[in-house]
This record gives sequence, structure tokens and C-alpha cells, in this order.
Amino acid sequence: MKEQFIRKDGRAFNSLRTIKMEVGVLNNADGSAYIECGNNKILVGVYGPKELYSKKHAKPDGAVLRCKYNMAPFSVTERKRPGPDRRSTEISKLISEAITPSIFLEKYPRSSIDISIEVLEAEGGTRCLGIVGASLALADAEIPMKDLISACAVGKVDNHIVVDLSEEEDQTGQADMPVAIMPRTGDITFLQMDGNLSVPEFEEALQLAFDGCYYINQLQQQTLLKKYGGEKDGKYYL
Amino acid sequence: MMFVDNKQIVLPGHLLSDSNLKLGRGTFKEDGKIYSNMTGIVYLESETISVIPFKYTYKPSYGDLIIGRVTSSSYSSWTININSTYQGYLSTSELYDKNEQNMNQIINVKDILLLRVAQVDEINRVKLTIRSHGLGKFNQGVIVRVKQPTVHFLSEENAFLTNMIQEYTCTDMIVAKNGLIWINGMKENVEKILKIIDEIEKQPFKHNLIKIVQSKIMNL
Amino acid sequence: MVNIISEVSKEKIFDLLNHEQRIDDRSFTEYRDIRIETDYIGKAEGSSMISIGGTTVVAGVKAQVGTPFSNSPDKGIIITNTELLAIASRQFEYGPPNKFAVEISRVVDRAIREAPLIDLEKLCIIEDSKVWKLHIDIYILDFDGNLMDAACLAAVSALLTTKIPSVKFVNDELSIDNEHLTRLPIKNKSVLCTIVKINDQLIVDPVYVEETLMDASISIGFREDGTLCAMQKCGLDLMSVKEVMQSMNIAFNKSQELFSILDDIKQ
Repeated sequence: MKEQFIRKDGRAFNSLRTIKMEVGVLNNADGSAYIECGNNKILVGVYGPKELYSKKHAKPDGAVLRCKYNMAPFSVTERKRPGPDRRSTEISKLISEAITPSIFLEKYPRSSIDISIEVLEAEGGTRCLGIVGASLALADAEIPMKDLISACAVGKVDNHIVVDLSEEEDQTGQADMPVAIMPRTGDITFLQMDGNLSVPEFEEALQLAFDGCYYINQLQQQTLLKKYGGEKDGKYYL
Repeated sequence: MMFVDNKQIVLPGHLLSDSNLKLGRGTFKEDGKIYSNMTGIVYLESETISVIPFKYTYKPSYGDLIIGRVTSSSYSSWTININSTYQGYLSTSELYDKNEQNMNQIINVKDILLLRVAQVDEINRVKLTIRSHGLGKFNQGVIVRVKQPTVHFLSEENAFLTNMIQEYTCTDMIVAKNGLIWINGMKENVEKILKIIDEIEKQPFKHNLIKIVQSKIMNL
Repeated sequence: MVNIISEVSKEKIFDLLNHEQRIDDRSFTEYRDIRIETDYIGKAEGSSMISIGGTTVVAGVKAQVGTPFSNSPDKGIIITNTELLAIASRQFEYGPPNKFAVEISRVVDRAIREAPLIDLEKLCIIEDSKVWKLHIDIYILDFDGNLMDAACLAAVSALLTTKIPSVKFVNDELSIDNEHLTRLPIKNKSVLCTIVKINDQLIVDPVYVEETLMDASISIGFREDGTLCAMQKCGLDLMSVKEVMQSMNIAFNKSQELFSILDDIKQ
């Protein structure tokens, strides 16, 4: 039954939109990443670690991670006023918490790592792509990390559990649940749910989210390896 | 057991080994297994496993020979840019203990010094020293900035190449750990050496690079 | 004196300029490669991504129906806003637009308004109550000098490709028809060309390091027929009348090049 369900945009329940990832796209940032997923366009830049001179902000036991999620005024159907709002403030906090467990912040006391996530066009699922992009940009900046964080949204549309909700599915669906994991250990670093799900449905959705995250993790790895000239398996011999 | 080859590209979180190896830079241990913590190339030398990053990241550690530029001076110390996240500090007491000379006549802002890392404390304050044989201020020569893999190639893996360059061209050359190389000699020789460094910089992990560089040096 | 040769120093740039050279081997009146991608953002009514060398700018146009200003009840409204994003450079910070961002917005706005690029009267739907309001948001993504020219090119090319919905009246009620899109009423194209005075020489399209060493700069807006539509002198140093006239000459020639790039845009 489940396999036959075709979504409005023609995808099966477990297929993601086409994703394009690139790292090292900005000239000045220490690390950067650009992600296109469907019509989503997200640009992430990382500056740091840099020494903080103000005693007020610096922490003696590790780097301060400062994360900003920001949407361009032209990224959505109705023009968004520039500047932070409640939604972007919450998402900034959550993204920062989603990637913190992966970073060896303690290696850089008294410093700051600044991550900016700029959404140039939004079409559902920007917070997950923000996490994916932030993790790629951190790796590009060569900041010591335990793993690349992968993220993926799942949800319930027309009584079916589906992965990677589009904007329309997000608005009309019964539930939306973005998840981020550390793929190596399978631990969850970020989990949000909005809508109605039964407990068995939640378990099914979580499983689907893990599958999606592992797939995205593969793409992240390929993107980084490609950038540094290695083949798929990372062998570098010429 | 090793799960990677020497000189393989790895990503953060890549499982390297579960043997009892010494942890070099770019690695961490979790549940008895060794993982990479950044994007870089695996380097295995006598029981130590490390990951060499692709870019400029230099982290000061005790005993490193470094080149730094004085950025400001105060009553008690000079602040020194050491091409790293953190600044270095050189105490004025390093030069003269009791002699009350005007330190600024000896070391000025913008001077470029050859130093050693004397201490890195738990909050990464970098204390430098100039009180050792061969350390001091550069008065001539040029300095080129290179990436970490090049430093690794020229100083750890193949330190003999530096000596070879010096012998064949009668040029002085110092490869500092923080990614700066000082060269002093005849102008045309310096330019040739810069070209060789450029080549290493482009493909620091190229197979047979040692032989290529060796033959280039011989033909200088 | 020991130099770190991979660092670009003031002495090096001035020395090169004295020999009629620049750090990236361009001549004094040569632009870097300019790339334009229009219709970059699907959600915007018009958009464009421009890169001039290492500087990348995205401009997006959003159209809304709004009320006109009381002093021009029969004219549409254009509002230009620039954001220097923190990802673009180490110097840029989060927060409301600073003086540099505001200056870019205002100069670009003048170049567009005074040309005039758009026939604002045709953007009026009902006099005194309903007009089209165009928000032009200029996003600086990557910074390597010459923001003024890049921002203006981005804004102009976004406007040239903007399509707005048509409006209909159904039982005296305004209804927006998103199926039928129309182009903006374009009158005159305009471009900004910035000339920088550095070490008593005049150059176009400065890179970031050249901009940090500049004495003064002058941005000149041209219409397609070669007449002027905006001008702004920035920088702390003086410019002689002769230098201004020389700049105008160079800028006029370069503006023709920029117009031919704009002509290549598929409309």
C-alpha cells in the first residue's frame, strides 16, 4: 500500500528532492557551503576560530559558537522585512545546539566561531538544510569535529509518513518533524515536531528520518572529497 | 587494525584505527578507537597517527620553531602575530633581565622574529621565547607563506630537502612550523626556490614529489 | 626590510601602479570578468546574481500593492535596501544597515530613479489609493571591492527581468491575476561606473586591497544616451576638477561596455 502512494510533486514517500552541495564557494570566509534542494537556496559562511579580546564574551574553557539564521527578504512569497524576527531567532538557537555536540569547542578557548546561514530562497526544510550546510562549512573551515551532522525532515501528509517535505506539504500536511543526527553514533542532536502523530507513526517517521540523514551524510562526504580532489573512496594516489 | 591507508583523504569522524597508536594532531579517541577530527590526509609515522589539514590552520605547541611579526608592544611584553588563531606574547624580560634598556630600540613593531614556543597554557595563551641559539630578528631575506601540508613535507617528512636546497644554492632557508618560510640568498636562487615551493604547495601529496623536487634542486 | 611576499602590501601596490600595472595584471581601465545570472530566485518577481571578479551580489525585486506617497499620488514606489552580509567579509557585522550599506542603497536608488529606469506613473493602479510598490533588496554575498557598480548592475538587471502580476477589477474590487505577468514599463537603462583615485592615478573596478588604499572615488551614473543621472564622490581626499573630468571620460567609455553586458540579458 505504502509504496504506491505518489506525492503531489511525483515523489515516492521515501525520496528526497534533488540536492546540490558545494563547499568553498566564498572568497573571504574561512569555510563556506552552498546547498540547493528543490528550489531552496542556502549559503553558509564560517569565520573563525578567532581570538576574542572582550572578557565579557570570551569563555576560558572553549570557543563561543555564534550562529545566525537569516532569510532574505525576497526568499519567500510575501516579502520578509530584513532583520531578525522570533522565528529566525529560535531557529538560530536550535541550529547552534544541533551542531555544538559535533565540535571540539574546548580546543579553542577564548575564541569565537561565527556561522551565518543565509536563506536566499525558501521552499520548505530550510532549517535542516541550514544544519547540513553549517556542518559542511565547518568541515571546510577545518574546525575539529567529531562528525558531520546530517539533518532531514519527515512528516505526515495525507495519512502517509513521508520524507523531505516540500513547502506545500509542510503547510497542508498533518505533521512536520525535522531531525538532525550524528551519523557515526546515530545520536539525535536536533528534534522538533509540529502536528499530530501517534507513537507508532512517530517511530516510523524517526526511522525514515534516519534513512534520509544517512543518505544526506553520503552526499556531504562526497562533496568534501570532491573538493579536495580525492576519488569517492578517498584514495589520493596519482 | 588500520582502517585507512597512509596518505588517504579522510573527513571528520572517519574511523582510522583501533590499534594502540599514539594520537597525533587531527585525531581523537572514543571507545578505544581512533577517529579523524578534520578533513585532511592521514599520516602514519612510527606508531603516531595524525591527519594533516589542507589549509593554513596552525596550532601552537611547545617547542615549535615559528616566525612571527610584532604587532604591538607594551611595558611588559610584545604581542606577536604568529599566523594562527591566537597571538603570541614575548616577555620583555626575555632580552635583558636587569639591564634597564629601552626595549623598543631592540625590537620594534613590524619586526619579524624567529622564535620558539615556550609554553601554551590551558587557555591557549602562547608564550614565546627568543633566548636560545639561533633565534632572533631577521634583517634580510624574504618570507613566503605556505599551507600546512607544505610545512609538513619540508620539515617533518623530508627535512633533508631543506638542507639540500641550502647546500646546492648557498642559500639560507628556515621552515617555520606556523607556515612561514624564510629564504635569504642570491636573488635568482631565491626566485628558483620560490618556484619549487610553489610546486610543492600546489600538490603537496603528489606521488613521487620527493624525487621531482630532488631533481629540481640538483638542476638549480 | 623583510617582507612576507605572499602578502599584498601598500608599497607593492603603489610600486606597481607607478609602472602602470595592477596586482591582478589588469590595465587601469579594465573591469574584471562580469557574470550575470537573471531569474536566480524563483520566489522573487525579478532577480539577478552578479559577480564582478570576487564580488558577488544578489538583487531581488518583490512587488506589492500599496498606498502611494501623498506628494506623488499617481506614481508607483521603489524602495532600495542593501545588506552587507556577515558572510561576505570579516569587516561586515550583523545588525541594521550601516552607513556604507545606506550609501550604496541611496546611490543605486538615485541612478534608477533619475534615469528614470521605470516609468513610475504606469505603476499607478488607482490614483491616491493603489500603486505598485517595488522592493529592491540588494544582498552582498561576497566582497572583493567595487560594491557600487556591482549593486547597481544587479538591481538594474533584476528590474529588467521583473514580471509583475496584472490587475483586474471584479465588481469594483481589485484582484491580482498571478497567471498573467507583465514586464515593468522600462524607460531608460542606467549604470553606475566608479573611478578610484589612488596614488594620484585613476583606475576602474578596484579590488578590496586597492579600495583600502584609495584616496577618493567617484561613482558616476550614465543613461544609455550618455547623459548623466547620478554622481557621488566618496573618500577623504580631494579631487581636482581635471581629475573629475578625466574620470567622467573614463566612466563614459566603460559605461558603454556595461550597457552591452545588460543588452545580452534575455528579456
